[in-house]
Amino acid sequence: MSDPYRPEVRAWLAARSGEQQLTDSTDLFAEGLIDSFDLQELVSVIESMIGAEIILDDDNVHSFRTVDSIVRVWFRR
Amino acid sequence: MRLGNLTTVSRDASKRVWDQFDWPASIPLDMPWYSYDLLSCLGTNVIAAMSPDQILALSRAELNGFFSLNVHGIRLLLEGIAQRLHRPETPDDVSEYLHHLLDEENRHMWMFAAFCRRYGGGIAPNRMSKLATPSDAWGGDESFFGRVLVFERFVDRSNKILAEDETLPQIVREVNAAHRADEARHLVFGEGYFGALLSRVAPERRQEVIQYLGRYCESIVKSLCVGRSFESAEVVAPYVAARSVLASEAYAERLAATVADMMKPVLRSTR
Repeated sequence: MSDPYRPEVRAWLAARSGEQQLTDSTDLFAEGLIDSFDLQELVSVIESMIGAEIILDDDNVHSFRTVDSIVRVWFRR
Repeated sequence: MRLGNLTTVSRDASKRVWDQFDWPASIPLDMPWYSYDLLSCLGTNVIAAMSPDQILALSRAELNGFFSLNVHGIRLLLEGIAQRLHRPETPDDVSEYLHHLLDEENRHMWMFAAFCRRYGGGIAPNRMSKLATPSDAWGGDESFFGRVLVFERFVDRSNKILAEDETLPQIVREVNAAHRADEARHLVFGEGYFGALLSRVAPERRQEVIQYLGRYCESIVKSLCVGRSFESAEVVAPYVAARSVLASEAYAERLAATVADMMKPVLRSTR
């Protein structure tokens, strides 16, 4: 279930951040590639893919740190 | 800015809200709760495919989302104001007024939360992220009071529409009217103080704050277009529907107009 979404997530993030060298393990927060506004948008994008609500909190916010962790946490449930 | 006057009026108004409302046991479901013109999906294919009952259900969910946004926004405001109350750099008259602002905002938060709990099935989750990264201009008093200013401008604009909409239930109109009554003072204070803070920072920082606030305005408005509301209205694929609305031309046009209005006091402060 996860792999069909991986390229879509990566492409969205690359377009949003303008980072062409984005890999699946790039730390989006540490590299400053997405900020809180981008994250809000990303949550909405992932919700539309998984068809369920994501309630962002201090615990799960780190799952949005890399493409790998996004796919692992939100597409393999 | 005449802070003495604002403080006096705040003291006179301080007894309102707690016992102001005659909360009905329930609110009719066969009437809209949120103004049609404020619905997130207005002018899109999504609303065109919805039945009248689905639109009514969406209006209930989006009103609850709007009141929940107020609850979350006010909580952040209270935290930020409390941190700044007694700092040496906070002028005495500002500190004095901020105590009243805290008092009033606390009552507003209670009022919105009470509505959500009584009629809306609870407070909807906060959609605004606080993630701080190097590209955020989150910190600094000018950013904080700028956020407060545009947030209050946004809710006041919606409160006006909702308070004056005669198609809505009386209690919905009363809650919005009550909020408006106090917000007028907050907006006067907010614009004056934000302008004073902004005038003290370097031109580059000023530009950074203005840009940042523009994006902040967008995120406030977008936080009200969520899959959860379309799910409440039993729209097929509700989370896809929310994305489709956010990506629509009709939404983009209304978003731009709303953000332009929210930014007016910010831009006035730069002149």
